[in-house]
Amino acid sequence: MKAGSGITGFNLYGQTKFIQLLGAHWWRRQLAGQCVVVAVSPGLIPGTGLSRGMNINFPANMPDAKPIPEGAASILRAFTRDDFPEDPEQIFLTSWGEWWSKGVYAKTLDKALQDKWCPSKEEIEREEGLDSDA
Amino acid sequence: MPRTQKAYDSLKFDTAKHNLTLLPLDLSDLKGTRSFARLALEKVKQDKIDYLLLNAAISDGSEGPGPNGSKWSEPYIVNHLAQHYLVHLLRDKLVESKSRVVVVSSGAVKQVEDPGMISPTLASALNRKPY
Repeated sequence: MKAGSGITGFNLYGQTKFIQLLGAHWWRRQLAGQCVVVAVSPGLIPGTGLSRGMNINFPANMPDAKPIPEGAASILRAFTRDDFPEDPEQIFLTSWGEWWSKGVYAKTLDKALQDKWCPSKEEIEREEGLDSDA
Repeated sequence: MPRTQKAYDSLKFDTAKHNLTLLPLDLSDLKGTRSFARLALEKVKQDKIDYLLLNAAISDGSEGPGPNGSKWSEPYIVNHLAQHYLVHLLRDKLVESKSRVVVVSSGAVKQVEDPGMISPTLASALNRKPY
């Protein structure tokens, strides 16, 4: 994760998205009963510019690739779906509209790992040199 | 901002029915993220935040220096830290609004086999080639 650590884009992307999902679970726990937190995958969507940093372009005819409007529709579903699974940890909506089973992302359910990667506001400001009152 | 404004203008959105305001946000800049949060809260005033969509991501490597002198790589800041910070900054309003927070994730989360390997102290040892 550190700057200059030389990790290539493809690996780093998966790792940062893993940590981001740890964050979604962490906020789901912090905001339980107050807000709804949903994670959603749009699927593999060439043409959004996401891959610009990898210096490769995913062709639109790749297997599993979906057009941008379909990816957008997947994301929009996360705004309106209210058939939440009974298990509060099951927060991941797939691009084909299923609530993903927890086994697929079991490693992100580790609460100690979630805590590790979810610093407090004050910790972030201190670490990144932001004045608390600026 | 000009590009976003142009895209918005091309939609010919009916502003007689709904208000829509564009505010600049660069997630590689945590200070700017805080300014955005303040501006957004000022704009929303007493109204609610019904939805917060966290959609931005980049897929660059960590070869370059961290933005604004950060020890963290830009993808980590954009894809997680700034989004996480933004939720902290908006937290009171989100709770007051009973908001729905939508986090755009990815099947790429499955790539991580050993979460211990993403520890920052081990990051520099990770230089596997993806192909």
